Amino acid sequence: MEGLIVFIVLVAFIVGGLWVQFAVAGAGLFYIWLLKGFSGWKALGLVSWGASNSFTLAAIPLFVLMAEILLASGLAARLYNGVAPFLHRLPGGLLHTNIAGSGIFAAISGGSAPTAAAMSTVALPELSRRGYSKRLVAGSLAAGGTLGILIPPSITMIIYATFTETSIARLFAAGLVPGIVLASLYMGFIIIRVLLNRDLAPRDAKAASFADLGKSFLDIVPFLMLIFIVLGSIYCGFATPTEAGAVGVVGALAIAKLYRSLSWALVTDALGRTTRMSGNILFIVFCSMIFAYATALSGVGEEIVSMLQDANVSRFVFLLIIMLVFAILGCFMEGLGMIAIIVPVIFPALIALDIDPIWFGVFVVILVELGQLTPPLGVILFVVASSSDEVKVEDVVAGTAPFFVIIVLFMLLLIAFPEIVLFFPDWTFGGNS
Amino acid sequence: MDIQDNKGLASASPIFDGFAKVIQVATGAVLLALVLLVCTEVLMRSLMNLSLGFAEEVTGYCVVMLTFFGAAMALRSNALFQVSFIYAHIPSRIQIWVHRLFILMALITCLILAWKTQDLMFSSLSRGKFAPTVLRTPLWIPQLIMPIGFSVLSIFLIEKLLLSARKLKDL
Amino acid sequence: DSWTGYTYSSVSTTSAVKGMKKITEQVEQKTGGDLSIDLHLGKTLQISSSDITQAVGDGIVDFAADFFFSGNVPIGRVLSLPMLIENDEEWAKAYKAVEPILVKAFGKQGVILLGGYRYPEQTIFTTFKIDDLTDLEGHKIRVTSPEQGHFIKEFKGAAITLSGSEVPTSLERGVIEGVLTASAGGAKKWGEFLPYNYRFAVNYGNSVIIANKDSFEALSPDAQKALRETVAKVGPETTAAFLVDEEVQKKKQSNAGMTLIAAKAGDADMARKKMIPFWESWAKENGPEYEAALKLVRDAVNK
Ligand code: NA
Ligand code: NA
Repeated sequence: MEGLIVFIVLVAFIVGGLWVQFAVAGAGLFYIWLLKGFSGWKALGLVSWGASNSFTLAAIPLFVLMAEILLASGLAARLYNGVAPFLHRLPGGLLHTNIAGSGIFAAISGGSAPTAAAMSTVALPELSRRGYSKRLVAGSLAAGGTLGILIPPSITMIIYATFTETSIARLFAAGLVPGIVLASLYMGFIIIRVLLNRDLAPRDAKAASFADLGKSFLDIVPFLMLIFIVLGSIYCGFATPTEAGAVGVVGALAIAKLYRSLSWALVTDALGRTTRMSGNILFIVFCSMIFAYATALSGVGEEIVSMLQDANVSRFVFLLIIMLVFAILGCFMEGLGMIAIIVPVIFPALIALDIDPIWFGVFVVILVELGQLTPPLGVILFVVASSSDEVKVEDVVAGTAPFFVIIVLFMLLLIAFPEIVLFFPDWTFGGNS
Repeated sequence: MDIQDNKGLASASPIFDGFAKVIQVATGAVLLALVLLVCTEVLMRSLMNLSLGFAEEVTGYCVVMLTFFGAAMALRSNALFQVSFIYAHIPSRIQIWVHRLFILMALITCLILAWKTQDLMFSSLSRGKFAPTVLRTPLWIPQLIMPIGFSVLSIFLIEKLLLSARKLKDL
Repeated sequence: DSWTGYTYSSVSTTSAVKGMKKITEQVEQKTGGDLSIDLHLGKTLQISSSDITQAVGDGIVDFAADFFFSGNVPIGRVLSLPMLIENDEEWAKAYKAVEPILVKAFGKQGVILLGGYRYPEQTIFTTFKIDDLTDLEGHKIRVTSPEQGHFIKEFKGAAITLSGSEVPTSLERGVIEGVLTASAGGAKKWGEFLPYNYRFAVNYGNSVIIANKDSFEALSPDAQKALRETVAKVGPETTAAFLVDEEVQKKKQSNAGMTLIAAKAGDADMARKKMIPFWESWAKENGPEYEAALKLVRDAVNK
């Protein structure tokens, strides 16, 4: 009952125009007060400390800074100029770069927010300038960003594994193929969408000469160098995925220097933009954690799950209900908090229904992705919106809606053909876990 | 993103500008320090087989600082997440009052959190609690960032309140 | 009374969580429902594992299992000094000797120490072949305390601190090349990346089971007694369950391809000799209380 009241209050204030962070934190305080009275607030100090003092969250400002340096030094624009001749004939043009770029970036970063943040800062201003549909650009960036937790490395998978004691290596392997398939589905949708309405993306009818392509390739070189530095630092064992963000910053600075666009003004400008943007993102994660604390206290997650278990449903219905629960919770909760509340409680039910825990891990990761795309509280929506003054949250929501449908259909596909998830880990590691 | 008419970095007084400048420089310095810290750890570990031993711990403190000071800078430059489709369509006189209500609610939230995180800081101080690491950091020191952060957020919210009073007069 | 319970562990199938659940169930039954504890698992309450002592002391949580208490009750670290306690028997003696000190130290934090349980010995798991301690030289080993770090450095290894969530990928890519943990602890999650296990007990890790002082004193004498008795019974049962699980996991990890190497004769003696000056300097640095506690333990285990 309290949960419902709080949910209505939260939605009302967010839709009404209160800053989202304060709406979430305020609703969290209200929720705790309803449950435990004023004495419940004494936990706020430790909860705040636990929610903000995090090593892994450092990946967010670091990767945003890397992208901001690329952006401010003009290297990002160079990349788009470079890629254009290769992709301009594909219907949708540079929109495909958003997806492919996000997929590559996802192989560097452990989270969706840094992936979306980096790609958006690079691509949004550039693509708006070129006359692409604002909504389609924002949608492709938000959808691409969610690949960050599906394509390994993935912080979300690590969290899932710690709750369920499943193999992280298998989970990582299991995320790769669905990540690539999902990226291809996104690209397929962009092609169809643009073929149906040619005004959504500009067309360049001129065929590029070999000399042009060669020149364009040189424009891509700095970006390839950076991917080499960042991926190399991870795969050669120099840095962890979080630390790679800092390596990327230094790499971006070095490349900017190499291309003679490094200046002190550039650095301070990038630092200023990064602190504002990552402060915005870190603060919403923080506020979500306060709300998650209240939800955990209320026990509402456990209640829903025990209702599910008592209903004695089939595997398919069970998964559909899980989807629904995540979708509802995902509207107002942060992903890791959802996993923390739901997964430990429903894990025993999985074994009874003969659901593979590795497969379910990937399923949950995609559900968390969905949650990051649903208003009122969808982290990725805000990340994309915050990287350009011209794009509003509403635009991102509208642009993301079709991709949301694709993800839901993709999940049904995974239920029907679990092999999409399982064949690769089974092939690399052999047999069953 | 922004729904206010006072676009960009509107200021209620040069005092607020100076204050914001200090916060901005401090936050930028923390971010730069974070990059240096993590890179030093990576270089030392991979080239010299050494570890600073405190990189993980101090990185966490940097994230705390970036969270609250960064949020304060985002608030001041009207970049904090907002959904504006209803708000943008109400009459401007009501808009100002709704805006003030929102500022007040945000301010109350911040003040409660400033108060409670300050209590935590004093609890850690009186318990003599420290981080069980090589630095043995007394935890009240990094925890002090939280009440300061919420106070900074509150100060910028008060600035917004002052600005809205000026707007009401102009109307 | 209705209490909020918390444990740092988030895995519902581990012996630690099963033990805590057993305590809450039995206490509720014994008190006829007068004391019911709502147990929350690790990470659900957004309170860090290293803040649990403080959460209990401040009355945010009434009852908890606490592994990472060394920031609040640093004297408890004497039990984790490398090579000071090398087997179950020594542990029992050492714990008995320092228990009054611990009760007092937790009391100062506003916390009642009810009991606890202990993990199996932390041994060395590596990605490289290891036959004795000298093989640690030049390798990057993840440690979870400065004391463990000292042990690794003593054998010319590099002591690395790293967030737990980054351990598996770091092992896979060679950012680190080993960890110190128990087979029934961290190795359960990371075993697949660790082909070698040198069965050398470096130190032990223990959890305390604690309650908020005011909440505890507000209970009826009967409920207090029921809680104390249940913890006193289930704590050791949990330790025993861990020892059983350790053997199960060792077998499982071995079957999965991990090579278990018995500790080389003489390694323990050599390592202990190297550690003795460290124990002494550690205690001296921290003050007379620590020197007294160290002496108690050393007398108890004859070292
Ligand atoms: Na990723
Ligand atoms: Na959402």
